[in-house]
Amino acid sequence: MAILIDENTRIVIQGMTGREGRLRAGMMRQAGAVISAGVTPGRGGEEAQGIPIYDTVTAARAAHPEINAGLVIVPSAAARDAAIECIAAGVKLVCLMPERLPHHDALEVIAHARAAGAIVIGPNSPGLLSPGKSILGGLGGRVDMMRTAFKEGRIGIISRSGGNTMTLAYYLMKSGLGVSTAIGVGGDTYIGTSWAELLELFEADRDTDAVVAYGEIGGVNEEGAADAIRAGKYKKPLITLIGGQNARQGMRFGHAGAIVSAHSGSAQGKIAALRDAGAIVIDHLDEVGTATHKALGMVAL
Amino acid sequence: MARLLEFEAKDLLRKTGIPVPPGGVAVTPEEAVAAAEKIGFPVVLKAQVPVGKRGKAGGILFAENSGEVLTRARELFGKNIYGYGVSQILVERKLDIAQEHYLAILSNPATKTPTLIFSRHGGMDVEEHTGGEGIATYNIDLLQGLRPYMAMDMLKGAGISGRALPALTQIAVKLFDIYRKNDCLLVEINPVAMTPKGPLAADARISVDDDALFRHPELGLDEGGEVGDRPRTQIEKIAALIDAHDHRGSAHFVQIDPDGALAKAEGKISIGFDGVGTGVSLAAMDELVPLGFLPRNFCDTSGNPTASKMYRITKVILAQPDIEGYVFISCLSSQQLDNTARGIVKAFLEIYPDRMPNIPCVFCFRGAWDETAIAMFEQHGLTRSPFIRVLGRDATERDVALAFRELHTGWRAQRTAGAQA
Amino acid sequence: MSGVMSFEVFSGGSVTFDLATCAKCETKACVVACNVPNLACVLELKDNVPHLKVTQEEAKRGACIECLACELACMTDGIGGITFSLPMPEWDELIAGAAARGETPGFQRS
Ligand code: SF4
Ligand code: SF4
Repeated sequence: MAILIDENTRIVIQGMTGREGRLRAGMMRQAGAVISAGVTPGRGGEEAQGIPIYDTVTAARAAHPEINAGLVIVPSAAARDAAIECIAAGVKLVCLMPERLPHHDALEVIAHARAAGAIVIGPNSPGLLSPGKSILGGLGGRVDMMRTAFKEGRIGIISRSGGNTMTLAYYLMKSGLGVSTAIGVGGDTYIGTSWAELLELFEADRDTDAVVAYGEIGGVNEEGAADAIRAGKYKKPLITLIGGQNARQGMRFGHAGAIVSAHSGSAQGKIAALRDAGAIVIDHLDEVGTATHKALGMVAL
Repeated sequence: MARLLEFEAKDLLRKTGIPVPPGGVAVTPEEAVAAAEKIGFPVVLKAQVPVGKRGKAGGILFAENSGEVLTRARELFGKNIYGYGVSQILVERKLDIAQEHYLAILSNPATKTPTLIFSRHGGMDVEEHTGGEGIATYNIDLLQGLRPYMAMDMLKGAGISGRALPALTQIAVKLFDIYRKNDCLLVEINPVAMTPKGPLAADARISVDDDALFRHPELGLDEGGEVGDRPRTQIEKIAALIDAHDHRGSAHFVQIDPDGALAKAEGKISIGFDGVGTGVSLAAMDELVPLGFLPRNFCDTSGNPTASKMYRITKVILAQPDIEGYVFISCLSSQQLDNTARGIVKAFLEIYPDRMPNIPCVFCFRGAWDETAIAMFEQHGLTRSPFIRVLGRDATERDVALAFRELHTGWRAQRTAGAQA
Repeated sequence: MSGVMSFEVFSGGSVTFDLATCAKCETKACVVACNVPNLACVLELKDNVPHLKVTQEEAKRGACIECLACELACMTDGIGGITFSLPMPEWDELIAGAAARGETPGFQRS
């Protein structure tokens, strides 16, 4: 098993005929993803990389009812409509890669997903990866790079940063640990799926023993995760690092969501909440391997 | 986030049908007098700057007559409020307020919805009080919008009754309209003044999503950028231009400590900084600060920026005054690091034709084409300098910070020795 | 061979080859560098000097990916025929005005 994506994942890519789309599709296939269809309005009937293109997601699903995951890589101004279309067509997992999506668009997509019982990852997500099984998005980059960082294993990764997802996987690999599923939740403040929701999925996954998470200043994801642990919704070890302990209030750091306001979002507040709930908070990224080993050892005892 | 000035926000409210106090905008003290005479005394003079807590900074003054308006307006126009010079004053009738409430719609990251917030106690700071006592909230389902009954139920629950109930409901629904039409992060009336003639928006704050400004040319707003409640520095403006002129890859540059005052106050050493990836940049900063080095700037150059963009941003980072070093670190990245490195190398070769930097510099390349990137420093003679160190894939964030400290210690020692000789 | 071959790049700037110099160059390292598989490949050798194999407009629209490989290769293996100019007038102003503001840019500090 794994969460959200595995060997049974069948993908539709919206925006597949663009340069980025073709590139992405090629790399995903090399990493083992099965892409059933692509969607580009006006290009129905064509093929790209040997994958059939449809005008709409509904048409794609009619021809390929097995489609169960959508990837949105259209320009950000068109991303809202693409994602809502995908949800309306009945796809229950949609990953939005575009960044700088107006946040009202993200909130609208999330409202539609809620009503339809669909899961939205992103916007501004690098994607999801279950090593050896499937990939939705661009996590890990070129396949040779991906393999230097990710191997199959039993640790889940949740991360607000694409780069640090890979860095964490690399440190885990060096310490002998592999990954069940890695999820880049997106660097924005308003994202479809929060840590707490993902932790619940990892809790239910028999093939995940622990979760490693990279958090940072801004937003309420980390605090929500702490609440989920306290409520008993997640009982496995959670090993986290919170970036931005020395960030100043009011400034935005790269990710749209990485901002500390006067009264919330500070790294210190997040660390306190997580520690209080029983999560392991490390101070250095490279400690993740030893900390995870230690946590699992204690659990085994 | 981009923030409207108070009078611009009130214009939007007025156009939507939310009552605001009579007033006028002045750009000279004389205009302020004329505006006041038209409105009638007493008046309040409010500096128009895009920051909160103006009152505390002396940005809000009262006047009883034309003479007072002239002196107070002159005083205001000479002021600098949290880094903003005052070039516009809003002159308004001083209100006869029976009671003040708080009403806002905010994009709420916890619920991932717009949230209607009301408090019977106006003048509060919502960020200090969200979730606190005396605050009523209603999470709005975007598929439904905000219908009057929803707002009314919430207001009623908060203890509002009588004629105030439909009046405030009306305002809430119109506020939501403004929020949606303008891609707002926050639309706030604080306070809603309850006057004998009904509720009035005594002060208003509207923040608009930077990423949605492209659909609102009519607002005439510039990106609020990443700097928070202060204007952009000259060097940040240069960095922003570099980023805007080329969409290929990003260069998010923001000064944490523009004038070095923070480093001085905390006894830290100011350095230039660049990272590939926001996450690793934050993590690396958290390694550097405890060792005594405070990055003067934050910079994230990810998404495969062109080498030319790297060249330009590196020159910007190195131009910051007083820095005692430069640190570059990539996350384990699928970005083409040889490309990244070529830009940095060109900048260094141009700035240091003798290949001998005047400050200690540490580079760490991890990821795609990292070995090519590292080899480049050697090929161009940059590794001959005792003050350049280039690290590779097996270095950790911590290693990078420690390597920098070592170089910096040596650099300091050499300078002290040089000064004595 | 004399004169120059020159084209503009997307971000604002230009690349200029001094053809008299390039004719004498034995390595033509710039052309080799531009033709490395992961790079853009807009330079070719024609009449024994570097030549743009896309149109000026295409180069400016982004066919030249401004990877600077040509310039850096010329520095190590060529004989200096290339000038890759990426102007930053605002930066120049910043540096020129530093003294008046009582500042020393980091790279000029003592
Ligand atoms: S390497 Fe330099 S000198 Fe040689 S051909 Fe190219 S630009 Fe001219
Ligand atoms: S900058 Fe790169 S793409 Fe452009 S001419 Fe030089 S080597 Fe070719």
